[in-house]
Amino acid sequence: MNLNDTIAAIATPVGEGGIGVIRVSGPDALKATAKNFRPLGKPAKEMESHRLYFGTLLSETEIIDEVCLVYMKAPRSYTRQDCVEISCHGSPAVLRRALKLIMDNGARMAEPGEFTKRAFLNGRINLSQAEGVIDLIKARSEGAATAALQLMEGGLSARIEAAKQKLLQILSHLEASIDFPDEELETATDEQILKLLDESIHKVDSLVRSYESGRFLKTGMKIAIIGKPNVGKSSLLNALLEEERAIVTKHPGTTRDLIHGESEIAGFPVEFIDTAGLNKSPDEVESIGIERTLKAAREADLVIALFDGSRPWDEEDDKVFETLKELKNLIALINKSDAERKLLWPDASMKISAISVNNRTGFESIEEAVKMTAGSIRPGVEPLVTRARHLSIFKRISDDLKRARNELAIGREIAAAEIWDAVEEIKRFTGESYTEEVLSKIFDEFCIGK
Amino acid sequence: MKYDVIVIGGGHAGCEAAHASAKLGCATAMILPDIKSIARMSCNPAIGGPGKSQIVSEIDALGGLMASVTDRSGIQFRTLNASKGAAVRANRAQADTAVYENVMMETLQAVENLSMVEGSVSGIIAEGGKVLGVRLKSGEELPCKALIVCTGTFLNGLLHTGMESRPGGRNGEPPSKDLSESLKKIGFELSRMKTGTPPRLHRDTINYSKLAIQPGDIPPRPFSFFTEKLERPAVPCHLTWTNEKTHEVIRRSFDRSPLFTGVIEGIGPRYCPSIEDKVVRFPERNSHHIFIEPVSQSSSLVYPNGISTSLPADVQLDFVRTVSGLEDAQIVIPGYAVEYDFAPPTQIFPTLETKLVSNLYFAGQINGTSGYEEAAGQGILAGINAALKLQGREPVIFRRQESYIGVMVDDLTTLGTDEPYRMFTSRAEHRLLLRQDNADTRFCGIGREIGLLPEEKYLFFLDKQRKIKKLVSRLKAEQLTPSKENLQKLKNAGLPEPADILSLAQYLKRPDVSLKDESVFGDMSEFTQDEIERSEIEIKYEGYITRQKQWIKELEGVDKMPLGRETDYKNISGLSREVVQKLESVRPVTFGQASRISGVTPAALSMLLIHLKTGGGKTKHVPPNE
Repeated sequence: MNLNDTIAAIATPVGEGGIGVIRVSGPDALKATAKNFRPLGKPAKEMESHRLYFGTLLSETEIIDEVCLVYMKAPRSYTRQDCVEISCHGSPAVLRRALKLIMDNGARMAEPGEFTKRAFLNGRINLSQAEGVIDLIKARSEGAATAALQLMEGGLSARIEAAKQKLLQILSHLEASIDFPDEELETATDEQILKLLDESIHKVDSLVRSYESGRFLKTGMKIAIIGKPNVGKSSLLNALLEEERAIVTKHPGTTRDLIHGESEIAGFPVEFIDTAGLNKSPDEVESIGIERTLKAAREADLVIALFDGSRPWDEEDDKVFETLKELKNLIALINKSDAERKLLWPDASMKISAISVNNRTGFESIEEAVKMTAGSIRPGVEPLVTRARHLSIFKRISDDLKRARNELAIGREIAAAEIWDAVEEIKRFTGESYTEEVLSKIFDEFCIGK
Repeated sequence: MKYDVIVIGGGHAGCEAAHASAKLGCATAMILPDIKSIARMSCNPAIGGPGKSQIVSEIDALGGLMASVTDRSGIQFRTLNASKGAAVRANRAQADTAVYENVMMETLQAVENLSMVEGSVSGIIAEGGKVLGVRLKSGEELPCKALIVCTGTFLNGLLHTGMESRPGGRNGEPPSKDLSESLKKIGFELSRMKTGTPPRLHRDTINYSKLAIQPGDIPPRPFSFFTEKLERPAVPCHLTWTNEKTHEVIRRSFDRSPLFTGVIEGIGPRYCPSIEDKVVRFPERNSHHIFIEPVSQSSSLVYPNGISTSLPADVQLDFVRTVSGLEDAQIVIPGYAVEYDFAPPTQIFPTLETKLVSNLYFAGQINGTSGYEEAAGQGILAGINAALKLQGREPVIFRRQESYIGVMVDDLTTLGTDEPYRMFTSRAEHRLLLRQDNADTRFCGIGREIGLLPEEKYLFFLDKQRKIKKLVSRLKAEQLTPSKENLQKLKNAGLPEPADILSLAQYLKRPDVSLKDESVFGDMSEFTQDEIERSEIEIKYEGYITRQKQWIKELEGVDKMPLGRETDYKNISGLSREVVQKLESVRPVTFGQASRISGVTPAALSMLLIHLKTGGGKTKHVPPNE
C-alpha cells in the first residue's frame, strides 16, 4: 500500500450541477494541477497555501473551464498531505477532461474512500471519526448525515473523551489512596466516588440508549401501512412520498403485492411499505398478498393502521382490528376526515387520529409516531451511537462501571481495575489502543492490501 | 585473575547482581571503594511499600537476597493497605541498617565464586562493541567477559547543602568522575538527576514524650516466603508534624536554597519532594508529617522521614527546632541534595544489556530509578542475564503482564524516564494478578529453572502450593445448606444468611465473610496462616482474575507481534520523521512495546500494523542479545 503517490478524484456527485469539485492529494498535488492552471494576475508558481485563486484551466492552449483553485500545503489539509481542490462548472464532461489532465500529469485515480483513508492513516482523524466519514458518505437522510457528521467531527469522541477524563479523575483518587497509604491525603470518600461513578454510568447509558435512534438513522425505519381494501393506503403512500408510486383506482384490491418507497420524516430515513388490503374472502392471489402484508406488519418498526371514516364499521374492519393485537408499535388513523364520519370506533382504550389523505391534513400524527418510535433523542441535538461496534463498546463500559460501583465496598483496587478496563475500552473506540478487533475494523473499512 | 563477571558497586543492585551471577556459576568480582560500605541504606532505613514490596517478593521467589536479609535485620514490620484488598497489600519493614549491612556481607562472603575487590573504577575497557574489562584508579586493569555497572549516585555526584556544593557520591564518600567520562567516550548519552536526604538527628536529643508513637504489627509478617519466624525485638517509630513556624523559617531562606536559585539542575522526584518544595507547592497546608525512624541499635542517629532538604545547615537546625519534640534536637549530619549522572534507559534492552556495548549491563540508579527495591530488582535481572549469556543460554525477559520487575524494565526501556523512577502499584495494569502473595507462583519455577532458587526452597514452595490447592478444592466441594440449625449458627456469628444451598467457596466470596470463621469453614489447623490467606485470596479474586487474564489474552494477539530489530522504519510509508527517530532509538522488540513509546501516535501504529500484516514484517524476529 502506498501513501506517497498523488491521487485525484471528482469529489462531487455524478450528474449536472452548478459546480463540481476535483480533489487532489499527495506530494505532487500542486505540480499536477498548476501546470495547466493560469491564475489571474500572477504565475501559478507563486500561489500561496490556503488562498483561493480564480483562473483558467488549459489543455495545451484550449481553455477547458474557468475555475477556482485552492492549494492546501501539508499538514494543514484533510489528508495531512499537499492537497488541491479545483471548483469547475458542474458539467460531467468538463470534470472528466479536467481530471484527465491531472492524471496525465502523474496523479492516479483515487479508490473509493481513499482520501479518508489517508486522513486516518496520517493521524488527521481517529478511528471513530473515520467511521463517521464513511457513514456520512452513505447517509440516507438529513438526520443520518447529522449523526455521521457528529461522529466525524468528533462529537461522540469528545463526549467519550470527557467521560474518560472523569474516570481518570476517579482513578487518581483511588490510586493515590492505594499507593500512598502513609501520606495524609484528602482523597475522595467512597460516597463521593459512588456519586462520580453514577454520573459517568448515566452518561454512558444514555449513549447506549441512543443506539435505537441511531440505528434508525443508519438503516432507516420501516413503516408498514395496513388496512382493509380501498381505505386509501396507496393514496397515503403517494402522499407521503410526494409522487405517484402506487397505482390508485376506485376499485378495491388494486394493490396486490408490497410496494416500497423511501422518504424522510423528522430527520429519519423512512421506508414505507404499502400492503395489500386485508379482506374477508380473498382469491388466491390476494391471499398470498395478505400473507405478505401480515409478515411486513410484524417486521415493521411502526405500523400505520388505516381505517375509512366515511363507512360504517364492518367485518373487514374487525379483521384488521384483530391483526393489530399482535403488533407492538402502531398508530391507528381514521381517513377521509373531509367526509361525514360514519365509523364508530370500537375500543376507547386505543388512541386514534383523524387524517385526510385527499386534503393532506392530519399528517403530523405520523411524524409524532415516528419520533415516539425513535425514542427520546433527536438527531442533531445529542451525539448518537449508530454503529454496532460502538454500541458493544459502550455497553461494556457501562457494565465495567456498574461492577466498579458494586465492588467499591469489597476493595478500592478491584473497583479501580474495573474502571481501568472501561478506560481501555474507550481507547479501543478511538483506535488509541489496539486489539484484533480494532485491527480487523481498519482492514474492513479501508480495503487495505488491495 | 580473570573474572567472568565484574560488578561495579556494592549497593542494593550490586549485591543482587553479584550474588545471582556467582550462584549461577560465574567467577564474579564486586568492585567497591570500601568493602565496609556494602548494602548501605543511604536514605531511609526501610524496605518495602506499595509496589516496592511486590518487587522484593519477586526477588525472593527468584532466589535473591533482599527479603531474607530484611527479615533478619528488621525491627518493625507493618502491612500497608491492610484495609484494602490483597492485591495492593504491601509490607514495609524498618531495618537496623548496621545489621542489614552485616547480614548482607556475611551472606555474600559465604557465596562460592564471589570475591570482593576494594578499588575505584576509573574506566570501562570496550573494543569493537564488546566489553573487555575495567581500569582501576591505581592503573590496574581487570579483564572480564561481562560487566554490570551499579554505581548509584556516585557517577559524577555533586552534594548540595545550601549554596555550597562539593563533589561526592554520598556523605563523606568521593564520587566517580572518570567513569562518567569513560561512558561518554564510549558513546553513552548521560543526563542529570537529583535526589535528597533529610538531616540525621541525634536520638538522645529528641523529646519522645511529645511524639505520637507508631508501633509495628503484631504479629509481624515476614517479607520472605521462606522465613519461618522473625527474631528481632520490635522497635516503634514516632510521628510529629511541622507547623506554620517551621514553614516560616523555611520561606525566609529561599534565597539560600540551591533548588530555588538554580544551582541544582537535575530533576528530582515529584513523589518525594524536599520540605522546601512542599512548602512552596502546598501553601494551603500548615503542617506536614515527619516520621522519626530509628537507624540502628548501634547508631545514635535517627532519620526524620519527610524533611529531606538542601537548605543551609543553620536553616536546617532552625526549622527542625520549631517542631514539637525536636526543640532541642541536634543535627549530626546535615541534609543534602545529590546530583548525579544517569544513562537514559532507552539505551538498554529489556535484558538490561546496553545496546551500544554487548556484555555490558546497567542496573539501578544509572538507569534513572530511585529506591533500594527498584535497584535490587534490576540487579538480580542483570546478574542473571550476564551469567546466562556467558553460558550461552537464552536471556530472561520479564513481561509487564507477569511482574512488577517486568513493568519497571518495560517502562524504563520503552519510555525512558525524566525523573527518578519509583515503582507504584498503579504502574501495573494487571495489578490483581501481580500480588505480593503470589510472587512465588509467578517466580519460583523460573528461579529454579535458572538455577538461582535452591532446591529446598522450591520444594517448600511446591508443598505450600499443594496445600493451597487442597484447601481451595475442599471449599469448592463442600456445601453450606441453609438449614434452620445452620442459619441460626450464622446469625449468632453475625454472618450473612444464604437463601439457597451454595458451596463454601461461593459463600466465602461475600465481602464480609472470611476463612477465620471456623464455625462455618471448619478446622484449619493443618494449614499455615499464609496458606489460609492465599486460599481466601484465590477464591475471592477468582472472577476478577479470570477477567484480567481474558483481557491480557485479547491484548496479546497484537501485543506480542514481533518487530524485527532490523526493521527499516524510514521505508514504512506514512511515518513522520519524529516517529521514525523514536522507533529507531528504542528499537522495540514487539508491536506492544512500540505502542507504549511516547510520541508514537495511534496513526503511526496503524501504519506499523499494516506494514506487519501486509508482508512488510517478514523480517525474521531476532530476540535481543543474539
